[in-house]
Amino acid sequence: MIEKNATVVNKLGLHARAAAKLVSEASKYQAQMEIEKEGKRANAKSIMSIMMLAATHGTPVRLFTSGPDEEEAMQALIALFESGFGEGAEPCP
Amino acid sequence: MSVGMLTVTHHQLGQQLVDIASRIFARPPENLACYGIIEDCDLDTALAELHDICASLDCTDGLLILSDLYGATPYNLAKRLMGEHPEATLVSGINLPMVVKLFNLQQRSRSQLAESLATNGRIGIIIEAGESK
Repeated sequence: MIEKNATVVNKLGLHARAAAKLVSEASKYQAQMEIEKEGKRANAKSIMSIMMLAATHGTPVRLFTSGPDEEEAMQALIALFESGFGEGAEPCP
Repeated sequence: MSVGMLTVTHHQLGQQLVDIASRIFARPPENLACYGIIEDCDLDTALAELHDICASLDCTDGLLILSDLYGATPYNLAKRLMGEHPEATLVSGINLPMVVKLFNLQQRSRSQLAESLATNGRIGIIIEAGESK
């Protein structure tokens, strides 16, 4: 299992379209992929699981990937968070 | 698995929810149709139209119908439709969390899909009180 920290950097946070993008990307990998916010874990392949995190701009999260392609899966997650899910990064408070 | 999906709701509620979910996922739904009931519509005509819509869906592994208010006309019409579609499962109480989940379903059986939609419809309902008493 791989674990890494990330931050929600886009202005709108992990909103519906961002979550949908995350799910679409995560679903490409075999690895189990999870996102943790304040002790609450979400399945990165489930849209409602991610939405229930209600992660806003500036929220620190912990990412977990586990499985045969866990390295690639983690790289993909990190890239998504760093790019603000393709929406760009805003300075965090 | 190829399960046909059909929303049967008051007016354009189902279509609007599907449109919003389509925008969220930036893609149209697959194998899904929406039907809206207006006041005083002829139910036999509506049923015939629903049959035609079902025929246009791929229901190889069944049909999943989503309606809004349990016991209301769209629900009752869906129940009538099920009389001639024993391969159908009906989930009422449609909401956006449920429809969003429709776009994020894994390949599953009809009964598993129905359970998954109902579960997600429920977990999307959260009560949060403000600070004032």
